[in-house]
Amino acid sequence: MTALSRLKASDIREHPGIDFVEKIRADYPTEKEIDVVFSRKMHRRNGPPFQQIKLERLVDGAKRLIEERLGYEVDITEAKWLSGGASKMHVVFILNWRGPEGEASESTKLVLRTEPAASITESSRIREFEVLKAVEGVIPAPTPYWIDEDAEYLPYPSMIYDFCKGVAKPSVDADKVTGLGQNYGPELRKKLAPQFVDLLARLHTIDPSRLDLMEHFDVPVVGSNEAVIKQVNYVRRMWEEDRLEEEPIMEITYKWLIKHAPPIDHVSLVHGDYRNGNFLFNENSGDIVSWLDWEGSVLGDRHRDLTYATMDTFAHLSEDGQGLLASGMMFKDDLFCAYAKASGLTVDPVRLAYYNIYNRYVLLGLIMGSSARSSYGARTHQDVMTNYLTALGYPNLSELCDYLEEMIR
Amino acid sequence: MIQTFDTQLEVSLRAMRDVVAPALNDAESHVLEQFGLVLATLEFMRHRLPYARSLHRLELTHLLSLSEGVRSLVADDQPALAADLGQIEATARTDLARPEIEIEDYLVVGRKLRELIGELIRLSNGKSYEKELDQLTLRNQKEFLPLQRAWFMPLGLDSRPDELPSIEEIFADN
Repeated sequence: MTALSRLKASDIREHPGIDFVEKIRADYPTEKEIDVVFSRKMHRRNGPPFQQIKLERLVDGAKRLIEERLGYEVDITEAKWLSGGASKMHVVFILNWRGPEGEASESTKLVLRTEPAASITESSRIREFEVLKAVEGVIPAPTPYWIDEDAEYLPYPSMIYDFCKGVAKPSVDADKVTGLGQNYGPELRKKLAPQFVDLLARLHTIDPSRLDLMEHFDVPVVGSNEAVIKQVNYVRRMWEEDRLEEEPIMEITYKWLIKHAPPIDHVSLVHGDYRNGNFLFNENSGDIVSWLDWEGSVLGDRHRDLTYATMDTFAHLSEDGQGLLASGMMFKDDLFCAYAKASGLTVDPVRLAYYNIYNRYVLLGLIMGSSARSSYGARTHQDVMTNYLTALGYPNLSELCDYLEEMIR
Repeated sequence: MIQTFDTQLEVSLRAMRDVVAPALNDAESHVLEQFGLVLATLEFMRHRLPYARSLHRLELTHLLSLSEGVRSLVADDQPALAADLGQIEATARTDLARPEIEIEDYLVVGRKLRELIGELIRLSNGKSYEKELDQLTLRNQKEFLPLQRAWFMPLGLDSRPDELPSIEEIFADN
């Protein structure tokens, strides 16, 4: 037996038994739908590694799904893979059909979003579908059309939404991976930054009646921290299921997050991945035309998005060297002030401190846990990307240590 | 004659940069993106392979030091687990003294230490020594982070690379 074989054999998470999975489920209760998704992931882990899915297979599945939902035959043309994102697979195609009203024949450009066998963010397509429905007309985002929640037509759960025209990266600084540290340049920044803040404010103050559409989300109770604890457990469960090795700082962080979980003071629709690189814009007008990647959305505390958008990982130094521009938009404090003005909601320093730690815990769970695991097990179409992203782990761990040291004096 | 890994990687990288890359000009963007990441990963390996053994030995030595500190703090409250930790430490010391051992063996024993240290931190919840244990662990882990960050520096994802030493400086004496 080689040393490498010994190392692999010592990894109990690569082929988890039922007892192992059930113990983690019992120890770290999460939202109901999260439990479904994570349990499915662990079940799949004992299956075969990811095999590249042929484009034709996805087109065929999408066609059958749409025909079943519409009740008549359609035609799909010009299908091709879309780049972008480290997590899900995307195919763009033209649907020739009778249109939304079923009357005139028309051609519509759509996107099929589907999952690989595992991914950096294990998430629920039905939740993503529901949140896109909820924000329709409030935030520019893809319009959802159909969903194959149980992978009846496609190899994995998938959804179809409309294609949004726009770019994620400006032509001047287009080599950044998934928008990390994306610099839009001073001219574009002037136009994008106010929209970045206003849309976040609009999202967090969305009409509560729209949240009724989100049946697969647990709804937090104002004054209680139960929902926050479930969101901490979401990360803990991911870490327990996916990590290649323990990092003792993660255990300290978990204890601290549970002990200090603040009660929810206002239920917001939280995007969960609100940052540069996750929206499309028109490079000429500077208008944000679509917000993407809603798979991490939750109902919860607005400070989660505020601290996420202002993490160093997504920032870059301003041209005059005065400081880091949060998400390539504005200085952190300026962003908080503009947000408070636009939303009418307070920005609470205590909650900011809490979610600064929480978001680093999330990122480390995703990067040093799920991302490392998915590339190790050859489970995605983007293993080279998920492996590359693990390099983000230690800079984030370093920031987390600084925050924790402040708190544990 | 057996070519070094450095040569194997160098010739592959040169072929990909000089021959394959220009032929991919019209490829779809997801193909170009993955190609760029393959190049970056292989370049990274080429830089780091000469230092891999030193890194893993240093990391295990560092974990041993943390483990000894943790063990002395929890010994009275968790005698059985402290004894287990002591046994893993003994294996780690033996491994570090064996010249023929593989890098992955350092990882096997290091991961055992990590798991048990994590478990002891979990069990310290509410105990009188909890804060001291958390602080000790934070202090120790933080001390090693500049090296871990420096290791990944060539991949360009650290927002503060200027504050890090170079790997060449870190391992100058090894």
